[in-house]
Amino acid sequence: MEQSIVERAQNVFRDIFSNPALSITPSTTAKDIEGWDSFTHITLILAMEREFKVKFGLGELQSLTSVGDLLTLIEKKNA
Amino acid sequence: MVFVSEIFLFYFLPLVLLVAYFLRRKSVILYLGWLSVASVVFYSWETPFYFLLIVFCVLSNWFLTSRMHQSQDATLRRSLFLGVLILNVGMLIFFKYTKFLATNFNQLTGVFGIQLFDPAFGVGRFINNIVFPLGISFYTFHLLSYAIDLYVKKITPARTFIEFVCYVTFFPQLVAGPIVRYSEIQKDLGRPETNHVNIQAGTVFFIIGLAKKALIADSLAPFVNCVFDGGGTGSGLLTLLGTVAYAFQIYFDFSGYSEMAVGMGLMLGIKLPQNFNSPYKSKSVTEFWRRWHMTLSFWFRDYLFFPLSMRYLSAGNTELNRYLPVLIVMVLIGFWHGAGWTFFMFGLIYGIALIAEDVLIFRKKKKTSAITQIWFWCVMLSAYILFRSTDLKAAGGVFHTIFFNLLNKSFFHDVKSLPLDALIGGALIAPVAWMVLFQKNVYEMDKRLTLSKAILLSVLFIVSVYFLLARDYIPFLYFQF
Repeated sequence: MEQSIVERAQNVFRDIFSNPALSITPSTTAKDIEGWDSFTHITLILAMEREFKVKFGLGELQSLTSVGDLLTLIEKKNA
Repeated sequence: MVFVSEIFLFYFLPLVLLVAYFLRRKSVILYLGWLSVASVVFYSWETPFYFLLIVFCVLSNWFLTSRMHQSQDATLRRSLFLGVLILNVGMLIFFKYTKFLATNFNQLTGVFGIQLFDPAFGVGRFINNIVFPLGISFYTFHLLSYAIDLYVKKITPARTFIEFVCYVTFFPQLVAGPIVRYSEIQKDLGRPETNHVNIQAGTVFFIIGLAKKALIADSLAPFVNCVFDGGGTGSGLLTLLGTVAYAFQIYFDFSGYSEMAVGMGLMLGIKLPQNFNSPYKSKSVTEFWRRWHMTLSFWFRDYLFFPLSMRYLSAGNTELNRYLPVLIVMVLIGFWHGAGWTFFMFGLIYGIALIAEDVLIFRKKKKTSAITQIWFWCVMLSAYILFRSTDLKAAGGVFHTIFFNLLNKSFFHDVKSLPLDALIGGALIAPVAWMVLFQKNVYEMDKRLTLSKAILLSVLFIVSVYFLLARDYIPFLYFQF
């Protein structure tokens, strides 16, 4: 996975979870980040859509519970 | 047929298992075919009309979803998808909500002296005679999830018609869940693992589920009924205890049912999803909805809350757009449980509580604590009062008794006049509270059988069956939904 994607995503995560020290890896899941609930999930997905200029479908929303899944899908969509 | 009947426990289930294990060695199709036939018999055993209903549901959904999947034309695909949605939601509305809608319509037009749907004749009479079919709230949700997941290409279609029939009708989950998504059991349907590990674990789940229903839920029932039915009691304290007992009764009843279902699924090599995860250990309402009837709350989250939120928040990141979807979804969850204003209020209370927690706790990054746990219990018990009451007036009466007569003298008088079975139910509250708050749930237990565990489970099974047969049959509470 490209480092720049992880870094860009990390900035989005830090912004959404209001935590400047937050660091993410592809194996980070919803359970690892405090406050990653259904509300923030949607806010996060929308912020990712804006940052990476992609659109997620309904079927994709449900399964995006780890950073790795999210970034892989973004890479696939931008390929 | 119900799980807690002699015919099911001693004839139907053993026969289904024996023939299934024999056929499993022959072929998967025969195995699934047998389970499908058994499931349809299970469903239509006492009401032949259910046979026509389930056959219609399965055939129409199979036809429409197969055509939808094969279609290359996007417009046709979308039309067929809308067709499936309308069919399933329409069936649910027709059977579950028509009478409620007509009654409310009559009340509204009654202001002008008109009663459009007279229950005595014509359309009104027809509506009044609609009978609510068992399990329809559950299997229409299975069917909807299948159609949606197929439409958004999250799943591939069922490999055979028989597999689809088995997915929809599989008797352990047909009438009261867990609400299963096809993706969760697709692998098991292709290769059901009927090995001794699954059969052992399945037996543990089944017996514990049965005991939860027979020994605890049904023992609490007489106390709950005394407090809520037939005029209730004038004592606020006793009413409050009755509400707590109801919270325990509904949990042991429904989680008992779900665990019997999961157990039978495992015995047949099909792993059904977890439905309860010690919900009363929650420290907030938000946590509760992640632990209570999980297959329903996750269904609503994935198929309604996420798309609604996406749509609203895309239009603008405002507080209204953030919270309106929660209110809509929770009110619909309320209505899912029944066509009545008490259920509307039940959902509304939970919706408001979830929003309050997001604003006051989670967005402020505060931790849940003993105080938030007390708040959660207050919200939950208030919601249960609405859930258990026949109408809003009755619920208002219960709230009034609890708030204004909490410590009045009628407590001792009313306790003395309780029948013995109700007194036993009331006395169970403390040990049951200890179980739900501090003990492991069945998922957290080691399910490998040792000799001592096997003896203990056998005794539990015999005692549970004795109690079931000795008492009058108490239906599973969730059958009414």
